[in-house]
Amino acid sequence: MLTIDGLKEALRNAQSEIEANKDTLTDLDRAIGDGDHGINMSRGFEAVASVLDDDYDSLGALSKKVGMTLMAKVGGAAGPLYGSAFVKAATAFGEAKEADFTLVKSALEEGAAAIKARGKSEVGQKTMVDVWEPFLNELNDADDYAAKLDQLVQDTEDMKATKGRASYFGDNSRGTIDPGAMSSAIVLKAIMKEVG
Amino acid sequence: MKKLIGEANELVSQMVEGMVHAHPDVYGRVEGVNVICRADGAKSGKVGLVSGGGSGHEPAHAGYVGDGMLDAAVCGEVFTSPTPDMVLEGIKAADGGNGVLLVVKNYAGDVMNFELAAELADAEGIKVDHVVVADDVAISNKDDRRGVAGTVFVHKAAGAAAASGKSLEEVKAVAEKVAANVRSMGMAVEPCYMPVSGKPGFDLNEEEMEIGIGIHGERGVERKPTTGVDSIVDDLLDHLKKEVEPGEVAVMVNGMGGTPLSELYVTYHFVAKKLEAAGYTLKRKYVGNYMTSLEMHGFSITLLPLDDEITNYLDAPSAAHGFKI
Repeated sequence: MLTIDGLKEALRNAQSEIEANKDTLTDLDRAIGDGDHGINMSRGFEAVASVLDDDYDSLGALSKKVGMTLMAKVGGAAGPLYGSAFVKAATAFGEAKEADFTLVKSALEEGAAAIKARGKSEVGQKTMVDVWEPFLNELNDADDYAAKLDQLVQDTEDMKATKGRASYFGDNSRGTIDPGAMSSAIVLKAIMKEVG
Repeated sequence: MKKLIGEANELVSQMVEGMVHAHPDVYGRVEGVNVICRADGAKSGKVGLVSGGGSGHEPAHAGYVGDGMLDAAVCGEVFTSPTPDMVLEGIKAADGGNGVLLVVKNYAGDVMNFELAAELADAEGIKVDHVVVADDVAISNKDDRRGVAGTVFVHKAAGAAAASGKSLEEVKAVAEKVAANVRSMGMAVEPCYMPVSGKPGFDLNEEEMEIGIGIHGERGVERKPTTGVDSIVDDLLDHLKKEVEPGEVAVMVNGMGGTPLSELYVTYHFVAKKLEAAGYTLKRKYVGNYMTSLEMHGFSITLLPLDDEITNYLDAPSAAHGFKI
């Protein structure tokens, strides 16, 4: 079961993982983007951490607040994408105070759909979508999520980017893991850990 | 890398603070946000013109705020699109009751954040439309092209059209006409350094240069051994000439922030000679720093085909510090 406190814990863990991987995310983005993904995600999740001390009466309310905070603090492309994901997930969580695996999965699926719609992107373009969509498609229970996420992140390495700033590099975008895929795995892992 | 800054995270707000304090006749600041608006506020009845994006491109975009050009510039973190709530503040500051046009450079983040802001403004009853600029010929797929220095011509022409009292639809048509025809391409011999991380956007050794760079410190589409500027200009013009027919044009040789003016004029010298030899008439010429990438050492060339309408808009008065006429 994912409780309100559980989701808060997940977001705190996501923040510390992003902080720990800030330089890696930025270095990946330097290679195939503009080198600010770690900096932006760190700023955004720091802001998220600061709203976690407030009281929320539902998972939906918390998720919506997190989405609005990310939208306002991350900037770049990641801000609207992560922001839209949490805002849309909030509609699936609704008034629920706790969510079982099935509800968490459908909330995350709403999130993935929001990312695809906002970014006008599909699987195979070397973006966040390459983690969110296949991960949720293959997710049958709350276990064994970490290895799957790691593999999906790794799979973006050989892809050629056709969306986002990395697409400017064409074939030269191969050989580098997509930083958005990596940060997506961090966030999804943190949430899945609290579901089990 | 050495930088003349205070706390790196405060760079943008301190820059905005400095600009407004230095030029109180032209600039105002929207309270509490990094949005620069006109000192005299939104002009009633005039279509508002808003642009912005990441910072680090100065004088873009705040330098183009002023009578005859932009009404507000939204200043995101360095090379990072501003957030929708910030853009919304810019829209409100520019709204004179007759609609607001957003000039957006074609980057995924900018397009998403400005679109979200337009949705928010729409919900508040402000009429908003937007134009996306994608002038960078370094990218072959036209939908993926970045918005670079040619955006300044869109600001100028749309700003003049708005100042002349045109409607939102008419101002948008002018902006779209310029955006549809303007073409740019850039290069760098030295990268720029991100203020927060202190790292260069890309690593280049002494003998290398990047051709087809964007304006966010990202690598170019091609890395080559360095040559003299004469042949670099040939290289960039080869791409531009494929898309801009010989005829009357405005040409801009734009510095990337760390290029001495002497080198920009040397560059311009070659650009002008080669274009004239190829049958182009350089009706308007602009040489200087218009759309930079921090301290990057490089330049871009922009060509805009001219007719009487666009020429008049380029020549119309402007109080903007970055494009004073």
